[in-house]
Amino acid sequence: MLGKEIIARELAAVDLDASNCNEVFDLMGARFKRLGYVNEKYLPTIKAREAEYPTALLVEPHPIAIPHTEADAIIKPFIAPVRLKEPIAWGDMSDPSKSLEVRLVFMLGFKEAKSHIELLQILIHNFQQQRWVSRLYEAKTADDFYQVAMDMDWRHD
Amino acid sequence: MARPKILCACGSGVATSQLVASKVKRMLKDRGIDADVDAVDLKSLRHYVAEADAYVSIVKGEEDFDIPTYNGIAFLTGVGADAEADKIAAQFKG
Repeated sequence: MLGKEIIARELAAVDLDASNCNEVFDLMGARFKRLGYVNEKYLPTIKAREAEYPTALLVEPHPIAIPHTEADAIIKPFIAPVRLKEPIAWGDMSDPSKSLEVRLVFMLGFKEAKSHIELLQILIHNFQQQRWVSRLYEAKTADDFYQVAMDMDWRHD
Repeated sequence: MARPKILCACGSGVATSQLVASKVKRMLKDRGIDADVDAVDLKSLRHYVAEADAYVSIVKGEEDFDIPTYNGIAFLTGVGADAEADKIAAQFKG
């Protein structure tokens, strides 16, 4: 199974200045491509997918978005933890007509179908740990933020 | 009684629906129910519904299906997951 090394320090970001999800995709997508994690299919497919099937989850205390796209856009698997400067409206997975106020985005890139289920389970398990989520919000620098992300409990229930 | 057939669907039928399917299957097993829980993509869902006993819904779609439907988001957020698993189990018990 993939290990914590797929949470990439070079892909972690805090204070990302974006006013909607497509801007987040543009900014982070450019970084993913430049560093060799995704190919040219990534940006159009992630935007199209999010538009059709939004990915914000109403976890407590704050919603978290988990945008992801098909394996053929991914060169190297990754989890990119991103904290936005300001909360933005992000489509609710359970009801695409509604939106949630999101500041935490975990961008996911999986190369093969099987590995992602365990990773998603681990992420979901951690999203339910309110203390860990609060620490993500409180982290002052990108380094601190990345350390908190790496502190994730690498197992699921 | 035949094995319960439960469906779960999301955009791709690969990511969140598989996670929820696997979670539902495990939680039902904990409750003594051995069910087939399959993940499909939303676009194909209507073709499988005729054969299914229940549907665990993640995304609110335009269609309402004529089979018992449960809240799949509970298994993603953790909020109300046990209560929802109890409800599904109750459909197949006895």
